[in-house]
Amino acid sequence: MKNFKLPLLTYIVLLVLGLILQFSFNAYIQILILQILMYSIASMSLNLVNGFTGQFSLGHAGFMAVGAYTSAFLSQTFPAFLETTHLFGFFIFSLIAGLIASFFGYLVGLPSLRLKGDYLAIVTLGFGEILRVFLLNIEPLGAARGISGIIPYPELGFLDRFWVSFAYVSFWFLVCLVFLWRITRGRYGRQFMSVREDEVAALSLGLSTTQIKVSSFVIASFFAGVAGSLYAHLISIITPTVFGFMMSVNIVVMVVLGGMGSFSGSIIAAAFMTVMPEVLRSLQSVTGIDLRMILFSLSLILIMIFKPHGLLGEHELPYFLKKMRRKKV
Amino acid sequence: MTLLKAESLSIQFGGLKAVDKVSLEIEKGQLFGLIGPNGAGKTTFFNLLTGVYKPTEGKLFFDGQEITNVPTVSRSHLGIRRTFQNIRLFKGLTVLENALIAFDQNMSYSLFDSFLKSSKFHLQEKEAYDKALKLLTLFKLDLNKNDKASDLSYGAQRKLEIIRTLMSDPQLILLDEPAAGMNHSETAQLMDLIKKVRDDFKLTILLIEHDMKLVMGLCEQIAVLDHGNKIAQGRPDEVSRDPQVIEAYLGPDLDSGVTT
Repeated sequence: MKNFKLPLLTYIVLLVLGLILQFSFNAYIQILILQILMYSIASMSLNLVNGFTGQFSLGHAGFMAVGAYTSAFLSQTFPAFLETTHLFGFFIFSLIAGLIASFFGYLVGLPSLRLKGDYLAIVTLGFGEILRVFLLNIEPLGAARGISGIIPYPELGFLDRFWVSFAYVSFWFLVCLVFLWRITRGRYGRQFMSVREDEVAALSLGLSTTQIKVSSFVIASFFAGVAGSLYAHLISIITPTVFGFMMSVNIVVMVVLGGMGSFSGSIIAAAFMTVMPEVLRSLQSVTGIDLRMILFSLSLILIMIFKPHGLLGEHELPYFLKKMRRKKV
Repeated sequence: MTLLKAESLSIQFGGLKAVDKVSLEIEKGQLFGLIGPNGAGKTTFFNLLTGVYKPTEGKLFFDGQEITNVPTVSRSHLGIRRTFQNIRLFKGLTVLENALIAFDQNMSYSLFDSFLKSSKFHLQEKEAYDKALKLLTLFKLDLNKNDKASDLSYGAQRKLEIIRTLMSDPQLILLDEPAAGMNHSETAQLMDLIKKVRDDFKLTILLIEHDMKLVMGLCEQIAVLDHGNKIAQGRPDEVSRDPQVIEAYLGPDLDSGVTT
């Protein structure tokens, strides 16, 4: 337990923060906050594959779809289980969603991770599309209608639905962050990065590059599945089109924008990518025309021109805080 | 005692026999040089030893065990490590990280040890760090340990590559043209370094080189390849007097009196 002092403290702070948010913001902003956390999980996990291991995957939304459909299907099939177990039931469903997604990750990764660069991107893109078309045609999973009326997170006494959702989503957010953060600061992080830097050299040092790539992919798919499961219960409705190509691209943009190899960068970028279109939405009422997507795209282009390695590059937030402190002294 | 033994090793690419029935025995603790003019098949032979190519004929033994069909990855685990002619460091990582990665096969903690920061994690990470720092200090790279590998000078990058081979206490290291692209003083330093490594770590070293000066001054045993065949083997002075070797390097002896 002593090794989890900081994460636990952070969690407690987040829970208190959740209370403040519950009373000070409307439902619209609250759902945005939950979405930021959910997308952070997705982009941080993709950063492990794209940033640390250097494998360009474009099918992350596919794994989210697997997780979302698993969780939604389970909750529709066993609603009584959720009622008796409360959050624990949701936890079990998220876990199963993650495991099934990581199984898919293994199936897709094992053959396709032998490919490099663009080819891998095409295969993973193909996986996402195949899955989407597959879901469109499966009647028990709602086909094109998707699954609606997915059971949301419960209320607990005076703590409303937002707080419970926030507590639950930020729990997974912290698990994902701490897990990825810690495994990349040790032998596994070095393994991932060695594959990114030079596969031939890694092989000569006795590192099985295929195994390393597949495990990075499997871990990332697990958290993508969890993020999908969170999405299903937060939004209450999922359709195959939601998890299409655009969502995969969005998550890749978050990774690149935040900085390849920087988890805190991914979180910041996830917040930016979620909030920015909404902030610009209010502009429409002033100007009368919808400049939202133009300005949003423009801001992305400008960031990539002035910060080609992403907002944080390959460094984490503490690095910059330390640097700032040094400058002051 | 023989550490590495090649038994009539051959590889054929289409109609070309790049390496033709080459037999070699390298004794434990030896500094063995493999030389030959350009296109003699040195690098191909090297790739057979490291497992990049599979021989079409012949067998390879390491420490009494047949390794002809052992893949590259596992050869490192057996205790064979190599360097590359065109240095292949993990350029974006720090000098220290480059060294630490090479220790990975000696580590056994799992993903969850890493997540839980268990005592096993700390113990093995410390072991790796101590080992890396010891080697970096020995090679005078400890002050650069937090620099990016790509920022090192050419000679220092070579050193780091050698450190990387040493991290897992190998028995045999294979050096692929270590002096490529080095000037005279750098080559001289490298010679001292290789000798020191062999003596300090009690290793066996095979080096491939066409810089004759380096090989002659350094190796105890030299084999010469030409057109895929082994044409001579022996001590440096024997080899340098061998008429076949002279012919291979300088062309046929038209008027007598040509020496190296």
